[in-house]
Amino acid sequence: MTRAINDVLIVGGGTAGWLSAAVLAKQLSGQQGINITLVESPNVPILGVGEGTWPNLRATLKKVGIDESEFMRECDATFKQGAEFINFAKTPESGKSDGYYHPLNTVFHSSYEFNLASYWLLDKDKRQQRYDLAVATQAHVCQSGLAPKKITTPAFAAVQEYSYHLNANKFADFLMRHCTQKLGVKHIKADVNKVNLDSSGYVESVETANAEYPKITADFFVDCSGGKAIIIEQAMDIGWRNINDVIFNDTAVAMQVPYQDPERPISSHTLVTAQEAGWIWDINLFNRRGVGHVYSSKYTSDDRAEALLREYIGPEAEGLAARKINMRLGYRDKFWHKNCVAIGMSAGFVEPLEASAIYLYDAAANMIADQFPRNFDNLAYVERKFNNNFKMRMERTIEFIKLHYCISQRRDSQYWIDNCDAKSIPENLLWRLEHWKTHPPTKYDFDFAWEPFNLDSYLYVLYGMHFQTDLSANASAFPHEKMATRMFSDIEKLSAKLTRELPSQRDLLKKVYEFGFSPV
Amino acid sequence: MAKVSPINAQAHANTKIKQDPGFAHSQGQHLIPIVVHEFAPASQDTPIVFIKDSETGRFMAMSLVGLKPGENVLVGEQWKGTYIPQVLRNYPLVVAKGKEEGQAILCLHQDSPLISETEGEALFDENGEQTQWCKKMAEQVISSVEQNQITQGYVQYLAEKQLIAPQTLNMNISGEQYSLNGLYVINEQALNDLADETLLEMKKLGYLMPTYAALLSQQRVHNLARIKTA
Repeated sequence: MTRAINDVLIVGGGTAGWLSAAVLAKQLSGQQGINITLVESPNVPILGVGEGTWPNLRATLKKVGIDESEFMRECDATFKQGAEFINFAKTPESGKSDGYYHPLNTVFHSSYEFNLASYWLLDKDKRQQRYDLAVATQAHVCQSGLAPKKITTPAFAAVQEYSYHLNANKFADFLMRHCTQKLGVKHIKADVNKVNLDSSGYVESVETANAEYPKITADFFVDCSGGKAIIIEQAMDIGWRNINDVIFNDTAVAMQVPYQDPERPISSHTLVTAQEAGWIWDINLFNRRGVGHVYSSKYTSDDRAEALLREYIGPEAEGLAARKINMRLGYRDKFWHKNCVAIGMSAGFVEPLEASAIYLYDAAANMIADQFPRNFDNLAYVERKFNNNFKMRMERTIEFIKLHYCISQRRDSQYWIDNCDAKSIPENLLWRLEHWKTHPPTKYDFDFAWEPFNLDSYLYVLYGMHFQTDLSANASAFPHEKMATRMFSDIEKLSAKLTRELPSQRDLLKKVYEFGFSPV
Repeated sequence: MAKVSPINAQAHANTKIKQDPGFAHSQGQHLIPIVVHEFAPASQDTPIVFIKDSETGRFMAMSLVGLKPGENVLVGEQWKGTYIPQVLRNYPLVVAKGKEEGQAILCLHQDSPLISETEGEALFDENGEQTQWCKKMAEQVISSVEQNQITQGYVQYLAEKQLIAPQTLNMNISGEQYSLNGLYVINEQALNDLADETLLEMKKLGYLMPTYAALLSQQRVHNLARIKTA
């Protein structure tokens, strides 16, 4: 009889580790005999800079039984409705900026059903208005600093699609308590200092520095040990594919900026502002901002990067410490190998531009839980499916992030010149861009059900970046002008209604923190 | 917002409160707040529904007295229901929170047409003492405050157990279509599907009777239609 898989050991306790623990424990604890244990170092602090998330996290939090209001209160969380990209398309002239929203919404505009982009491209009058503002109510809601729902909207339900900005350290701690107190996850604090493989190369056990747990055996291992990649790299020697030739940013400098004005408006989208050799993120939590500069060490110096960050923040940055973070960009040749799967930085990291990191952890944990192999004979099939799926997700994430740089008209620094060099652009993306010069992107450009970035996302970025699609030779293929005009007008009316009715982000947060959302 | 002011022996030495058997002041309200203690009698006349407070998102229990916003079919020369909700009987007296924790101050809706100097029950006697009637009313009003808190706990419990669900009320009366949004009612299916231990807990908390009263009261919408067209 084949060996059963009953004991799961997660190595590492950051966001990736605890999110995986929560998803696996919630979904598998009903199955007989499955035990989830998480071992984390009492000495290594978690990286804890991932503060932006995607709506799939909302679904996961609901699924694992978390109370949304309690989660928000304990993690200083705020609502996130997308990101605003500023100065990516053009070199900024003094006093002017050029920007666009990439909203999360597909509630009121889904290009999948009826693609408004072609009609926007063909209509000279409509093109006076920005694409995002023409097609998405949420762009207007973001612009007005409003929340995505009301206090009377039930927990986890949305008026406009949303995710969260959160304090990553507090989030890991919150998930830890939920996992250990409500989901029966066993928590061991110990430094793993050795990984034992059996004669066929499967992980057999880990050894720790904690005298109480000198050796922990398990049937299945999840490597969430971050950049150290204790199992997948150090023990199993799985290779790492660098992507520095495509994505140049490899360093970040981050600061936490408390609100000096307690009534300062709280943005409900991430502000992303392009710089000469990178970009600055600005995330508004309930009690402070998280602001950081992501840059390429090849094109600028640490001092210059920090100076630009301080200049962006202004007087509020005085006296505040900055923290430097080195980022290793790339992904594993295999994420899953035999009885070990890597989730988190141990598996791969693109760069934080579209906040895809926590999304990928969440997606990985859910896919493992849904396909969990109950014995060793089942491993090979799931391993292959998982590896193919996540390779595609990584590649598509890299392409989508590259899109934000490679169609820019900025030529003010070598960084932007090199980013637009065709040699640095993945072939699949080059091919698509060529096609999109004379055709609008359509649903047929997306092959997989699990593509991390869908048609709407591409449209927001392409036309936010002033990408030129010339439809003049093919205008007759778009005869539904009347319907398009009606939809543009509906979006305008609905935007006006929403901006009238939705509360400000800060007003809603105060109520959520005080009263909480009702489950119905 | 209606102005309320604390009652005192000087300012209200000559103030009298008239009775209005038709409760005309509730004209224009299609929802009347009720406490859980009133569910049994109130359910004889009207549907008991729940709405969310737009400021806090919390549920409140209400007696539905009209079929469209701003309509109260029970108002008339005489109240057309068999049961008169406490909040109507208390009017124009009301309790406001004092500055100190737990302090309650008896107040008066200043603009009420029921306030008079010539007719009705006096608040104070010639010695500046509260009249028997006033004392009785004060007790009643203060007990409503406590009952309100109990009701809050009960309604919160229903929400947590997801025993209430949104319901749009659609009715066609003599060819006219009526539609009311934003109402929540007891979800019969969820109630039937309750785990045994929750049902036992509700029994111990005394929550079963009001919950079934609210469930059955949904039929009373026909009663409102009948009164409206009478």
